[in-house]
Amino acid sequence: MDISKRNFLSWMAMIAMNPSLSWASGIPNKYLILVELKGANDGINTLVPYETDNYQKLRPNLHLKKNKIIDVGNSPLVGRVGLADTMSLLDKSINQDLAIIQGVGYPGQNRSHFKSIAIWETGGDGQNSKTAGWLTNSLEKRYSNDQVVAHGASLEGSLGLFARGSGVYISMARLNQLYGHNASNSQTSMNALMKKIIKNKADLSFASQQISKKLSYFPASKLPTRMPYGNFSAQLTDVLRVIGSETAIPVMHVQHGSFDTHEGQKWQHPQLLSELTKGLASFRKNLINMGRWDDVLVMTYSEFGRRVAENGAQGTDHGAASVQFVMGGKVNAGLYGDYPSLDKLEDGDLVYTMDYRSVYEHICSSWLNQKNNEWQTFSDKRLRSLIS
Amino acid sequence: MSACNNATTFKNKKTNFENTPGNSGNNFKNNYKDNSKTNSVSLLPKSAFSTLTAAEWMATSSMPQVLNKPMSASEVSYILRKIGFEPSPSDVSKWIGKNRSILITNLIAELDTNPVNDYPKWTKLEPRYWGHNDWPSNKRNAFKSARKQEIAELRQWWIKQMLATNSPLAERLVLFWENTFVAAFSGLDEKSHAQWMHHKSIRKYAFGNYRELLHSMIKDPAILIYLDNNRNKRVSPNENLARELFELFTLGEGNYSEKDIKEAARALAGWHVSEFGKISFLEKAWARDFDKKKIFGVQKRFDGEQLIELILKHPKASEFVVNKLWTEFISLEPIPKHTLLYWSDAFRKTNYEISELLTVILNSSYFWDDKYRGTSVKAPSELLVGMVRVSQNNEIPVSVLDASLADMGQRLFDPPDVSGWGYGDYWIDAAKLIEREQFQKLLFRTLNKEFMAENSMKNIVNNRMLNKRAQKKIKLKLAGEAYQGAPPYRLSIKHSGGEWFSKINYLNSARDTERLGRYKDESQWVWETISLEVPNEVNEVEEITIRFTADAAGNGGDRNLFIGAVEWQGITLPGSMGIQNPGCRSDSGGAERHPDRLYCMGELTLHWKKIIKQFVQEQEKIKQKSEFETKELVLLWLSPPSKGGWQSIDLMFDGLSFKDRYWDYFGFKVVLDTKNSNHFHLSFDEDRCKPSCFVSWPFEAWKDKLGLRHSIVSFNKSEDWALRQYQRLKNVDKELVKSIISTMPKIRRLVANTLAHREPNSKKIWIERMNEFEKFAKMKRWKPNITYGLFERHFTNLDQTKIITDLQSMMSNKMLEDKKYIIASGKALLVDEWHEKLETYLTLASEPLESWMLSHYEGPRLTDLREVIMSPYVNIK
Repeated sequence: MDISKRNFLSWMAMIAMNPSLSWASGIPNKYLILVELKGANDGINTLVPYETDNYQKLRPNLHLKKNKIIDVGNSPLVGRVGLADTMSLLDKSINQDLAIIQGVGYPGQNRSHFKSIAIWETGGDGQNSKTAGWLTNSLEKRYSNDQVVAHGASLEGSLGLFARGSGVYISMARLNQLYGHNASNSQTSMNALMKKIIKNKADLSFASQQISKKLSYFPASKLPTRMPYGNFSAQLTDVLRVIGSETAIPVMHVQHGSFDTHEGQKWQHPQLLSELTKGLASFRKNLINMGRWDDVLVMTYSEFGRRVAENGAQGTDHGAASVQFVMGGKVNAGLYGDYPSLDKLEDGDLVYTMDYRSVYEHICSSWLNQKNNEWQTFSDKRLRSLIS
Repeated sequence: MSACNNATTFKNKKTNFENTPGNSGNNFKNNYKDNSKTNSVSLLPKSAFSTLTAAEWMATSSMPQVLNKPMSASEVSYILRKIGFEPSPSDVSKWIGKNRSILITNLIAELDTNPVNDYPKWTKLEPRYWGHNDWPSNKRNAFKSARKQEIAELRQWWIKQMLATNSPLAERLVLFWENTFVAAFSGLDEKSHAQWMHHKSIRKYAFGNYRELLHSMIKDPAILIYLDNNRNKRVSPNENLARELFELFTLGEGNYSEKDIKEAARALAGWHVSEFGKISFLEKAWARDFDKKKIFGVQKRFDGEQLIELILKHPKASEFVVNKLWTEFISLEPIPKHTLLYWSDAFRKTNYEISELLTVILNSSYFWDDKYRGTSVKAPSELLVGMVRVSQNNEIPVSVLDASLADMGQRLFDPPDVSGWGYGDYWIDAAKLIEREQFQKLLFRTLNKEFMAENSMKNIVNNRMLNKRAQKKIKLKLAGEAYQGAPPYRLSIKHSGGEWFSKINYLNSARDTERLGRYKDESQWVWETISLEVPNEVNEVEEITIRFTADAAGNGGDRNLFIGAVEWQGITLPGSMGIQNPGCRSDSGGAERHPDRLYCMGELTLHWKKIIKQFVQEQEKIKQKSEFETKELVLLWLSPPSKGGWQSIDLMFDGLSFKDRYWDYFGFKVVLDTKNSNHFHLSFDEDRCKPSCFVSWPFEAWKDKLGLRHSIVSFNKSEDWALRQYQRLKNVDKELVKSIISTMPKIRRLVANTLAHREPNSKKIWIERMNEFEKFAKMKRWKPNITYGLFERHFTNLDQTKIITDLQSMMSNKMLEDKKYIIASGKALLVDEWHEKLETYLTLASEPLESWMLSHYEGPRLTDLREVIMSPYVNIK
């Protein structure tokens, strides 16, 4: 797994000389934002099948009351479903640009956080492990190295999503990591590795100055709406600055959590969802005001869902199928797929009704324009109208 | 083929080899021709495995050997750097002018992976990793925190080991094998002791026999857990371990088929890790697959051990190791074909002895070839350890070294995935280069005495002011996150004479969240042990409080302080035993869940006197003896009452002693068979007791396919079949059963408090059923002949929620270590001393500094160590 930054750096150098080159001409400046709900979000208390008997029965302490639910529609196997009202800030999206995909999972559920997230990042399943990031292939076909500053950037967490990609991927815990980095060596060498190091360093110093400069054209204060406080929102702020300054990084990964609510879910989970929606709602509002909402696609994902029955500690344990959100100006709002039945559980878990790779397929073909992508076999008609 | 003692044979052989350099090259080709058609591998003939010593092999081989000539300073430093860490002046000077062969012999003879520093104490104290279901959440959190702190401690222990070793080659081998047989802590469910066992095995075999190394790895609990082999069962095979075993551990991609993987997975089915007792390899017969498997074209009833033997016969097995060693120790450029063939032939013929292979490698001219100078990038651990060793300066706290290593991308015990850390470009991308340079600057400033000035001055001044009257020391183990400055803290001690306050100190090893983001997981926290001086008049301590005096946060990061432990007068208490006040407004439960984490301004108080008093009482209690005792009777699981048929309460004694018998663990079930007109009984399963539950099992006990016995003791059935099993038991076993029955009231309490169930009404239903069980238990015939009932030795009086795992081990043994560390080859030098020595060496070497410090340095002559430290040349080898 060799994540090279050489091109990123030399590109940053070019941008510095020619600031208009943010996106190579003719390339649509679109951004895919992947939101990792770290720790495994409880899909059942996110999109609630509140009419089923088993929901209340299996969750005597944790079920949400009817008046705490925003009804969003009907699902054949469970009846009415609704979002937790802690997500009410997204109410405008529900009819406009929020797609809710139900029953997402994969065969052979792995219940280890560490291993299941690797599966989501690479497009594997319980029987088949894969090693390359799920979108690296399509992404690199879509954008050549000289068309982007970087193909992907991770603002929090690892670069697992971009594993083994041969494009340009950067991890910037904070864009700050590059600030104040000065050129310090003007040496030359005959040694190939030394040449590389010296060049990387020189480029890096140069690029870091340029990145800070570029982002300084678009400080957080320039955002139309103030972003809320918090770690998740801080990442989205960085994303907004990248978009606002037209820096060509077509995929960005952000992280929110931990959703690992084995105990005390009753108060922890609403807080997590509320922070998530606050962030996303302000993010959306800003992009609409910036006139950029059509250029942005947001997708959430998480290791797995949580078990239907609560445990004895007012929490929930690791489960299987869950719910996934896709948002953006080009997204057709609505419920997609089928909510799994709460009467036919497998080991106490929801049985997935949609392979998560169907969503990958749709994104690769509709957002990245790669009709022949490696997820083709998972193509699912139910998602046909997800992105227009 | 026996070893050749006879000179003539040697000669003949030699001629043969000369005709076909690399000698088995033709074999390989033939083998692979077969492969392409039949997908089976022609395994190596027996003759490929003679047992020669390296010297014998070299005598018969045409491999070009190194000329035995005197070495220059530049050559010495190059060789030592390549197979070890950057050498210090004294490391180099002793070899200048000596013959190469003396150095080679010495490097092999000095191989030693034994620790210079004692093993961390926690490695000898294994907690109970099972039966946590009914622990309150903060106790479970504290347990996990403790395990993560142990790994953090182990990381620093390993760094110290690399700094102190007299055999850098051995430590590089340990790193090499750790990066081959990857078992990252993040994938081990917090089982720090499995990580330790893995590391210990690698130390044991690092330069020993490769066959033994493989055998130990295929049974290694950490490997089995990390690669999901615990879930590999005959009925549902899991291929993860089989795949990585072939691809990443032993053969490399393209040298096996998918079918081979499937079959190998079957061979490994049932190779699990023990659920109860200490962590160990456990072959679960019920999960094994005893049928034939066809692997590499060979059909046999393979198990894991036979699979390893088969792999060793694969022509690529030896090449795989040689290839990896080449990349690790010599160059990023591909290994020349002849070199590969010679070395892998030597490896096979020396019976896979790693040290013999190393002897051959060091003696070959390929290894000494000048053209490989500067063709490889140092991994962060090599860079960091090498630079500290070369500077002979130990002023940077080991916690800061630990943090730097992580920032450069190599957090020890935590490779990113099963393929391990990479080589070359992998280490010098933008983010990692920044951090490498950060470390160079840090060392530079330290040598310039700036580091101390910048970062620790305040602390030093504070503590020096106390020096005159202070004689006592208190130690704190702290971790933290910095945002616009390190977290400040103040210590206060309430004692018989009043209250003492320290000055405000700063935790300098806290992670800079503005630059690097927050920590992702507690196991990444870097712990620093801080020693503070306390005035003599502090006596009879009542409370120790650590106050986090100024919180800060913004959209760029967060400032936090975490308290691992406090040590005072020989006793160490974990921070998790304290009480946090006031906690964060935004997270009302946080202070209770994790009292040891100060995310907001506030304080943690350890009620020292009270805890110690309780502890003493508990210890008194422990001293009592009972004829029927356990550490704890643990309720493992309540089966759901909604499912018909056989329903049970699954229970386990954590250690059981009864009269003069002892079990590591002893399991039994309280069973209600609803299908069998409500049959109430106890059931005992042979695989749930260690050693076996009974002295002798009743003849009527049911025997499963694998010969394991299962027996029941009936309460409410009087038919012959129901009573016979109990009646057939020996008297001692009858007594045991009766004593277990006497614990019914205790079991009822466990049921009432358990969390280990899935259905909301499980508990209610089971409590009702316990009424029945208790009624039966009171019958005269079950009255045991013991004086007292079950005695549980775990701590009961102490507030359960505040106890880590085994308090006794936590309190009495675990001393916090000071931050100073040893650097190999003598005492650490101050900068001035270093320069003094350096001049001596230079005169002796009569070579310019850079030529031995950096064999490939091309720039202007360096005159100062600090310039060396800042040079980008330190990145390569």
